[in-house]
Parts: sequence; C-alpha cells; structure tokens
Amino acid sequence: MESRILHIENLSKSFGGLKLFDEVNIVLQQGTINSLFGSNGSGKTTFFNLIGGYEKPDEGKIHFNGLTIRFHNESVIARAGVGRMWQDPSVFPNHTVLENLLVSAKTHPGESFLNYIFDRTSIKTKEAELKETAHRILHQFKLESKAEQLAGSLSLGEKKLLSISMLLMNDALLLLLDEPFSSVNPDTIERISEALLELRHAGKTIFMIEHKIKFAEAISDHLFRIEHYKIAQLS
Amino acid sequence: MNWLHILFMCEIYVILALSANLVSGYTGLLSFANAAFYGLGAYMTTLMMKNFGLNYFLALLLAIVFNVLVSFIITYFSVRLKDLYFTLATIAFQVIAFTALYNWEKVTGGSYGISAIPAVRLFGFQLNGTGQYTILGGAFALVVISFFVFFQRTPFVRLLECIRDRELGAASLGKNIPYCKFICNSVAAVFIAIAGSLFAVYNSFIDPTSFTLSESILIVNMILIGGTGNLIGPIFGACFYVMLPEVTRLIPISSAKGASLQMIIYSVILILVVRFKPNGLFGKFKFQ
Repeated sequence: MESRILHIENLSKSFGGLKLFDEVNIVLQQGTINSLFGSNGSGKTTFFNLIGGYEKPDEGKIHFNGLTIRFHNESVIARAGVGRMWQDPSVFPNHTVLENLLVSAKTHPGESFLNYIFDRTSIKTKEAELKETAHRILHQFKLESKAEQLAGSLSLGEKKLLSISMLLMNDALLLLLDEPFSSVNPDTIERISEALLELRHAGKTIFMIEHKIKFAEAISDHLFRIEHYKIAQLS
Repeated sequence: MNWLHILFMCEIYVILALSANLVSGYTGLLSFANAAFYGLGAYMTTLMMKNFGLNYFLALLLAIVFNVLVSFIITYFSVRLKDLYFTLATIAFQVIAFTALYNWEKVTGGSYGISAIPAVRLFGFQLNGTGQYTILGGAFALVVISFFVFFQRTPFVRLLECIRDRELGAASLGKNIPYCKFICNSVAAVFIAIAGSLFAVYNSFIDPTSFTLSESILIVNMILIGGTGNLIGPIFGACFYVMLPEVTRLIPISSAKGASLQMIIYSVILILVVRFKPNGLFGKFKFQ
C-alpha cells in the first residue's frame, strides 16, 4: 500500500514583490518517481529549495515523513531523509569516489571528535562496515572501477551517478534531483534511469526537475508542472 | 648566532602555523586572530604564575581553558559567516584583543608589559637557559605534530576537508557544520595557548607588541608560503620565516640594509609563490 512521504499544504512564496508560488498543494507517495516540469525561471529549483530547507516558505506547511518543515535548517532536514542532488552535482572534488561515499554516511562515530578519546574501536568498526556498503553501492551504480579516482576527475554523468549514490549512502528517503539527465550522453541517461528505477524498487521516492521530458516521462509515475504560481498534476 | 634560540622560535611558530592550518587549511576559514589567541595564552599564563603563584603547567591549563572559552564565544558569533566576512570578524577580534592588552594597564601592564615572569619548574627542577626551554618547546611541538599526524587520515579530517571544499554539499548531507567549526577553533585555541605560554616563560617578559595584527599576518604568510591542508607546508613555512632573517644576517651589509633586504626577499617570495604556486610550496588547498 502506498503511503504519503511528502505533503505540501497551501505553500506560498514571494521574493520582494514577485510572487512565485501561491497556495501550492502537492502529495508524493513513497516508492514513486515524480517529475516536475516548468519553463525557465518558473521556480522549479526554488521549490526544491523550499522542501530542502534552503529557503523558508512565507506561508503553508511542508510535512515530510512525520516532520513538519518550517524553520528547520537544511542539515536537519537532510538528516530527516531529504536528499538533494544539485544541478552542478555536489561531489567533493579533492576526494576519491570511495571517500565521497564514506563521508556521505548518515552517521559515523569518526565524525565526532570526542569518540577519538572515548570510543575509538567503534570508529574502526563503522569505517570497515561503511567501506563494504560503499563498494556495494559503487557496484550497483557501475562505478566500482572508479573507486580510487578523484571525484573531480569524473565526467559530468559519472558525477551525477556518484551524487545519487551518495544520497543512497546517506540513507535519504526522498531524493530531490535537479536535472539528472541534462548535459549527459545517452548511455549515461540509460544508466541513471536504471539506477532511479532500482531506487524506486527499494522504496525510495524520487522527485526530479527535468527538461528532457521524454526521458523523465518514460520512468515517472507522476508528472507535475508549474503553472500560474501553482503546481498542477498532469498524470 | 644562537642556533638554540632559532630552534626554540621555530618550535613556537611550528605550533602556531599548524594551529592556523587547522582552521584555514582544513576548514577553509582564513583567520587573522591567531596572534590574539597567542597573546591571551601568554598573558593568562603569566598572570596566573605571577599573581597567584601557580606552577607553569597549572597556569598553562587555565590559559588553555580561557582560550577555549574565548574561542567558543568568537565561533558562536562567526560560525555562519563565510569567506571574507569571517576574515573581517577575526580581524575585528584581533584589534579588540590587542587594544585590551594595550590599554588595560592595571592587569596587563599596558605598553610596559609584564616582566620577571617566573621560570618553569618541573619536578622541583627549574628550567634555565635556552637549551632547556628548547627541549620543553620541542616536547610540546612533538605533541602537536603527533596530534596532526594521528588526525590527518581520520574520518573527522575527511569531513573537515569536504566542508572546506563544498560546504553546501556537506550541509545537504546533514553534516553538523557548526560543530566541526567549533571543534577546529577550540583545538587551535588550545595549541596557540601552549605557544603563547612558552613564549612568555622563555622571554620572562611580554608586552602587547608581540601580539599585533602584523603577527597574525606573519602566521598566515607562513601557511600561504608553505601551503595548507597538510603537515609539511605549515612546518616548512614556520621554519622558513624564522630562519630567513638569520640567513640574511650572514650577508656582509649593515643591519639597516639587512632589514630592508629581508622585507624585499619576503615580498618577492610571497609574490612568486602566489603567482606560480597558489597552493603554497607543499599545500593541497588554494584559498579563494
């Protein structure tokens, strides 16, 4: 049975005198792929920023998996399970692909300074566990051969795949993907599509902004379009 | 030429440069408040030893606690500031700290400074002379270097480097960025307090002119020339800056001309490094 993972109620947002959203209502079901279309400047990225806590709504409520997002900052919302892939994938260029995945882990005792004094064994154990998980994810995303390569040296398509795999490592429940298919070759589009379908199968919810409507339509369960300050469901 | 004195100064500046590297090299925050913390460490140790008759190590412990508390307050107000704004905030703090040290005559002695600082006593043995202080400084420098050697390849430093390279990316993974900055600034404040206390007991005299904005700029120059984000860069930068004046003294010219020559050499090297090695000679990270 499907369950709501994201429920947005009467969301409004303006910048100065410019109205962007007026009483937007939208519901996303868990384990679905959803695509958001709209013309340039219509506010697609801003809408994702509102869900992710990077912008605050003027009015309305955003309910995510039992949490009502209003004044929480982006880190708290990310810890609650909202993952974000930016248009320019936010990989860490000076670290290897494997390290990018390790740093994406939701919790790591090695990231707490006091654990180096009081609980050093748990750091080693967790690091070993995470390496195993990271290699499994890299295998799933066909990036295993790049594990020791610097993330900054990957192609854009590979960076996008890495960015999505980092969200998986981060245990995100809702993946907000900003143009995953843009500026990548057909092979990579296929790889990304396959990865997204696998994630849906694993119960993840995907919400993506996309201009390549044909590719998005092929894998999406629901389509949305921004029109006249509202978001309309197309199918 | 007193090579032991030079070695002692190298030890102090290695500690200072490594501390500056922790804040600037691993989190990308360019701080110009290092000399302020250096001065607070020196004054706190001195006041505890002179006014309350405390042993050096107990006075140092209190200086560390004081520096960490001040660092907490500064970080609290600056943690959301980025790039140039953070740097400006640290300059403001540096100026405030210097002004306080210079004008609070009743406590700090103002421009006259504080003299006759008691010597370090260790197990009933009083340290005397440059050689013994060099051993003490070397021991502390070794502790600080060992700390960085241990931490260099840990998940904590990996996270710091990711925050430095892409703070928004780290935030969107749910990382607690303010916590990391608090820890970095606090650990740096601990080590800078050690350097300040060593400086005070070695010279047995301190005054505010040793803790000016110029001193902070010097420390930043050390990590700019040596490079940041690793160990070798700050260590090289610190030793280079301490030893260069001694090397120029070997040139048979008057001391006035020698001082000018030093400034010319510093400037030329800085320009060349910034132009051709923007990461510093051994650095991993380039300041934007």
